[in-house]
Parts: sequence; structure tokens; C-alpha cells
Amino acid sequence: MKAPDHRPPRFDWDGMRQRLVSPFYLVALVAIVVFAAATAPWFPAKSLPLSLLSPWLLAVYFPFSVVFASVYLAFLLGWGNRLLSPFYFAALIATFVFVVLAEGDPTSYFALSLVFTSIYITLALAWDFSSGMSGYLNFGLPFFFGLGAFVTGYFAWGGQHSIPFLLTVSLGVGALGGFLFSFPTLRLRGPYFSLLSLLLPLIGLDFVANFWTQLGMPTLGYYDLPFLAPTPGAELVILSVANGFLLTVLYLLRNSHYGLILRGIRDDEDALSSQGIQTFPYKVVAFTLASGIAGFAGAAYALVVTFAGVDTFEFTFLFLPILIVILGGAGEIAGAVLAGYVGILAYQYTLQAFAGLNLIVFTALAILLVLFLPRGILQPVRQFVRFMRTPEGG
Amino acid sequence: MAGILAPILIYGTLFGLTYVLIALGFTLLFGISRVLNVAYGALYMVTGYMVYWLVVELGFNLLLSAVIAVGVAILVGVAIFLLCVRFAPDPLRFLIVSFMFALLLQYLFSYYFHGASGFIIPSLIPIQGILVFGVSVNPVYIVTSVVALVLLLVLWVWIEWTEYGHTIRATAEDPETAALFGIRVRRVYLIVVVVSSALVALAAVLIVPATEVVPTMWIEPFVIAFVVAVIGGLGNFKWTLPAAFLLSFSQEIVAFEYPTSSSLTDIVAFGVAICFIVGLPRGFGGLLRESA
Repeated sequence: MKAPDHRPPRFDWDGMRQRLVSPFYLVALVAIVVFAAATAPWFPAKSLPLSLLSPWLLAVYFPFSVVFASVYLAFLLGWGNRLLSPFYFAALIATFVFVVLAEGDPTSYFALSLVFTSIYITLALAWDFSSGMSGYLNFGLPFFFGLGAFVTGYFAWGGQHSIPFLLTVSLGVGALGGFLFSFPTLRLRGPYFSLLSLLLPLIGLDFVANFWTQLGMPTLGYYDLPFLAPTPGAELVILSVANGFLLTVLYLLRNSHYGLILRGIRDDEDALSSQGIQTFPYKVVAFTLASGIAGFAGAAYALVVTFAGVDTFEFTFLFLPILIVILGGAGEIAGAVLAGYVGILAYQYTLQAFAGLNLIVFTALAILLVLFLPRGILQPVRQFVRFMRTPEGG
Repeated sequence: MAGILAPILIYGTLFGLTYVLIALGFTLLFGISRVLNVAYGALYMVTGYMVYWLVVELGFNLLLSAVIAVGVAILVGVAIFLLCVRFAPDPLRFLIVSFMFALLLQYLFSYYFHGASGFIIPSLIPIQGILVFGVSVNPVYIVTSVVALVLLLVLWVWIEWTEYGHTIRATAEDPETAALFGIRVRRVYLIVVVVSSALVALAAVLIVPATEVVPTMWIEPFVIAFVVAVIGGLGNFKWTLPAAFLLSFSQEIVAFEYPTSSSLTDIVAFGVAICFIVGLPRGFGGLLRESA
């Protein structure tokens, strides 16, 4: 006998879309765009009553209104059912809220720790997109992070001080490195690939620690790099907008056909192959993209601390992203952002009080998480919600 | 030419046999239980730190401390393995948990010794260099090589020729069928973990006095073990010796070609591993059809 279906009826997406293109919403969209234009840096804001708002709010509002307007446009294009997930919105709003909170005192320790939190979140997004979704654990993340930092240092010492150029070239070199590494090695299945990628940061560490001075470099890295932005608050705006953009793109990719196949690779790669799907190009593209993002994060880190050194190859830049990805649920792009603000902020604030000991506590926490809650902290919440929704109680 | 041939031959042979001792436990464990244990390298570190702590800080007898250190390493290895197998049985989660255990142990030792590193531990063997065919060699590596050869032979006889060896091989072949035939699969795994941990701990007791005790010392034995395992064909116990020789000789040749760059060894290891994965994914073991 077939069990009766007690699930709630599916949401009426088409009706939602029609409501979204109603005149009221269109007026709201125009208002957002006008407000965005009015708060743009090049607009003479003094002539408007907007100047009553504090300048930092205007500085934050402009980029975020661009992100929100893009999301709204995505709704109109019919991607609403992908973007209207509560997790995605919670993650996007958290990104915005933390920037606004920090702008109250843009040079504080809070703003600075949020800057580092944002960099870890970027890394976590990269890791979640490649490894959390496909199940191919990429331990080579710190290598591409360090690669981005050193590329930034190399070009900055070569006389290039344009921040967008440095960020872009690090992204490109990271992606190239990721492609060159993943093309031969993604023939390996699962654990073998992971172990081989684990060798990458070790090589990077070894190379810089032992060869750097022989190449005629005075210290173990490039120092005196330009700042990403004048204050931590301004750095936070740049990194948060990048994270919001990355979150949107990766979330759309996750829910697209491409993301479906990536998640299928994690579940059963052989079944996909037997359906005639060549999984190899999907994996290579995912790892190339993730390595590029890691390179970008490395460049941002180097420009924040104004030093590209051997510490960028450390495993801290591997296990903290992994910790927050698992905390938020592997393969859920938005979960990594939400968990990142909780986990990394806690890490930053325990860093001074218990130096060294907090690293031990967080590693132990990560071990417990992988052992007992491998699907993330939201897993029991989801189970509870499902339990409450079903009439007969589970 | 003849001038560099002797050192390459001697160092290549000695380091190759040392690599055999380091990689033996990893290959054995992987061949039987099919899990990649990153914490394997951490046991090497645990042994080194235990010997340092017992001998230098507490003033114990060296031989006694070595025995205790090996025992502690076995206990830690068994504990990590059992925890992982019980709660994270699939290979990927096993890998990630064992990696985090290695990091945890690294941070623990780093914290306990207040970030200080570079400890020297006393050796059971004199470490003054002796001349072999005009080449200065540390006796530590000669003794390690002999021990490695003996243990390789003992393990080979144990796995291939004894009753219990058949049991172990049956478990490696198919654990479920083996269990149907009355083999206690968990006990076999346990014994293999104990042997594997003991091997790497013994390697640490022998080799670490020639180097130093630092919190990141788990990385090198792990890299060696993994690359040797890849070259030999993962889990293919019989090819450990040729694989280790291939690695050590290629490292020595590069080291003599570029004498100023002291630490190309890891990069050479990585390159060799990549070459094998691209050209010969099953390693040496894949050359023979019967073992494929």
C-alpha cells in the first residue's frame, strides 16, 4: 500500500514571479536603483538630503544596493526559486549587517577581525564549491592561497600598485595553477586525490622555507605591500561585496544543472558515468574556479597584512575553512557564510585570550563535528522541522 | 663520475631501506583495511616527543623510554583508528578525521612545549659518522637499513607463508566473505593497526636522533610513506622495496646534481608521485596483470 503524501503543497513560483513584476515592485526596483545611483561615489551627494546620512552608511549602501538590485533582477529572470531560499537570504543579509555594524567604528578590532573572517569565508566558499559539493576533498587550498599572496607580492614589487590589477592577476594565476594541478590528478578517485593535494601546501612551505633566500630574496616573503584600503572598515566593504557576489554566483551554480552534476559526483560517480555523463570536465572546472577564488583570497590577505610570507601555506587556512563548511553543512554554499561569521569570529576573539590553546580547541571541535555531525549543525534542526511538519510525527 | 657514484649508491641504498621502514606500516594498513591514515605520520611525532619528554625532561633510562614511547604510539594509533572506524567508516571521512588528529597532535605538542622546537634526543646507536668506501655515513642509517631489511623479510614471511597471513590476506580481499568464513575481521584490523603503529614508532626511535624533534615532523614520514605507496601501487605490499629505492635514488641524484639546494627532496617526491599517477596509476603493482 502506498503511503499518503502529507507534504505541504509546493510553492507557487509562477504566481510569485507575476507578483514581482507588478507595478508596485517595479517602483521599488526603480527606487533602489535611483538610491544606489545617488549614493554612488561619483554622485554629488551634497545636493541631496541624503547627505544627512553619515558618510559610512552611504559608502556601504552603494555596493550593497547593487548586489540587492542584481538579486532582484535575478528574480525577474526566473531564478527566484533558486535564490529565495531562507539560507541564501540569511547569508546575504548577515554579510550586509556585519558591515554596517563594523562601520560604526571602522578602525576597531571588531572591524579588523571581520576582515579576516571575510577572507576565511571566501576560502570556505571556494572549498565548499569544489570539495563540499563534489566530495573530492581538496587539501591543496593553502597552496593556491599562498600562490595568490606571492603573485601579489611579486607584481607589487614589480611596480604594480593598482589593487584591482593585483587581485585579478592573483585570481588568474590561482585558476591557472588549479587547472594545471587538477588536470592530471583528478583521474584519481576520492581519497587518493585528497592525499596528493595534501602534498601541495607542504611543497609550497618547503620551497619558500628553503629556496627563497637562494633566489636572492632578503626575507621569507614580500613585505611593504600596498594596503587593500585605508581603513579596516573600507577593506571590509570590498571583501564583503566580493563575498556577496561570490555567494550569489556560487549559489546559482549550485542549483543549476552544473551543480546538480557536481553533487551527483559526491553521491555516486559511477551512476553518473553509466548515464553517459563525463564527470571529469565538471570536476576540473570546479577545481579551477575554486583555486582562482583561493588565489583571490590570498591576494586580499597579503594586501590586508601587507606581507606575503611563508605563513600563507599554513594548515590554519585549510582546517578553519573546512570547519565552517562542515558546520554549515557541506555543499550548502550559504551555510558556509553563516557558520563563518559564528566560527571565525569566535576564533578571532579567543586568539588573544588563549593563544595556541584555541587552535587545539577548534581542531578538537572540528574532529567531533566530522565524527558526530557530518552533515552540519543544521542537520538536527532540519530533522526537527521535518518531524514537526509530518502529521503522524516522523 | 666515479667520485659521485659511490655516495649516490650508498646514500640511495641506505635512505631507500630507511624509507622502507617508514612506509611499511602505511602500506600494510592501507593494503588490509583500505583506509588512508594521515595520523600515521603523527605517530612518528608522538614517539619522538615521548622519548624527548621521558629522557631529557624526566630523566628516564633511554631504552626504557623507547619502549614506553613505542607503547604510547601504539595506543594512540589504535585509539585514533578505532574512533575513526567506529564513527567515520567511509574512506573520505576517515582521511579528514585522521588528518585533523595529526594537526591536533601537532598543536598539542607545540602548546605543551611553548612553541619551542628543535629538540635533540639521545640515540641508542652512536651517531658519529663512519667511513664506508670513502663516504661518511651516519651509523643510524646503517642500523635502520638492517632493521628494515629484517622486518621486511619477517613481514613478508608472516603475510605470505603463515596461517594467520592467509587470514589477513583473506580479510584484505573481501572482509564480508572473510567474516562469513569465521574470520574475526575486527581482530585482524586491530592486529594490523598495532603492527603498523609499532613499525612507524620503531622507525622514529631509530631515525629521530639523527634529525630533531619539531612540531611539524609528522609531515615528512607521511609524505615518504604516501609517495612510496603510490609508486608501489597503493596497498601493494610486495613492491615497497623497489618503490622506496626508486624514490631514494631519484632524490639522491637530484641532490648531487644541485648540491646547494639542500631540500629538493619533497619536490622530487611530489614530481615522482605525479609522474606515476599520470603514467602508471597502479604503480609497479599495475605492471603485473595478476595483481591488477
